[in-house]
Amino acid sequence: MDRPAMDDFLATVERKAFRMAEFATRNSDEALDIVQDAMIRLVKNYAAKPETEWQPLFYRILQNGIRDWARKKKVRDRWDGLRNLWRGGSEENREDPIQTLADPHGKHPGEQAALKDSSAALDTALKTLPLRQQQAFLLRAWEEMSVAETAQAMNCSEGSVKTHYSRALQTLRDLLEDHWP
Amino acid sequence: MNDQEKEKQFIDNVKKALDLDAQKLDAGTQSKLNRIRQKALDAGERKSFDIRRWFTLPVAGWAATACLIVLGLTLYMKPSNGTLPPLEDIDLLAAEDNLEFYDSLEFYAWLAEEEVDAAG
Repeated sequence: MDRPAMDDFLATVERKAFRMAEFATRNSDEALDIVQDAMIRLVKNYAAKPETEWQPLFYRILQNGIRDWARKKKVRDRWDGLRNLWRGGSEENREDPIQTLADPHGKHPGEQAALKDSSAALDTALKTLPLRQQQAFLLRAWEEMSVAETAQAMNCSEGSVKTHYSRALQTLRDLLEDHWP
Repeated sequence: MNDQEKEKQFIDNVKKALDLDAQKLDAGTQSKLNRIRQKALDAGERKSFDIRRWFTLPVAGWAATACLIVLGLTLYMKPSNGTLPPLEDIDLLAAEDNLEFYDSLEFYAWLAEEEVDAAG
């Protein structure tokens, strides 16, 4: 393995990878775990591939890691919900599911303050996007991947990428129109 | 500005904000990222070492087998210290007539001496 070349490559993608994972998980420790796993998998399995292939491979591994994390979280949350129900939590103590839903317009009172700053507003808006829309938008707009490369990284069709990206873009433009009309 | 230009402007703004955000990561997170990067690189080197070891084991095995074959052939082909090569010994042992000849070798020697004396 060409260690200096791989070191350089990982150093150039690690910050973006971390932020992408953090947008999805909303937890920096979980995000670091996902990035570490992606780096190890790339180095162990694909270090011998040409350097030009590292970027799409890395993002594919990363996006798979994020999707796996989301799937496990869904199962964990479902079991936690059932356990709470089994323990007979009273109606008063039970969390109101309406309160946990993301506000599609990002105008939740707790987010109003954050919206003052465009960067914080973007952060909040990205976190409200469904996972697939978030992935498609970040890969296309931030990482400047083509539709085909994004489809490969997300393991879906090019048509799905276009749909996810266009919906994400529309939602973000609506949410951030006060900052970037 | 038409909608396409507005969209492009919006994406440029988002990109700039995200780049700035990634550059401003706190020192703690940056240090953790450095650490996991080094850990990943070390894991890769450990794996390539393992692959080399598993690859070299059969090679060493074949080399040892080849050495044994060469040694065996050398010993087999080397002439013995006696006057007769091993194949001639086998030929001798296989021929019953010749064995009888060697059993009576002393008699033939005596007979030859008697013939010389009688001639002299």
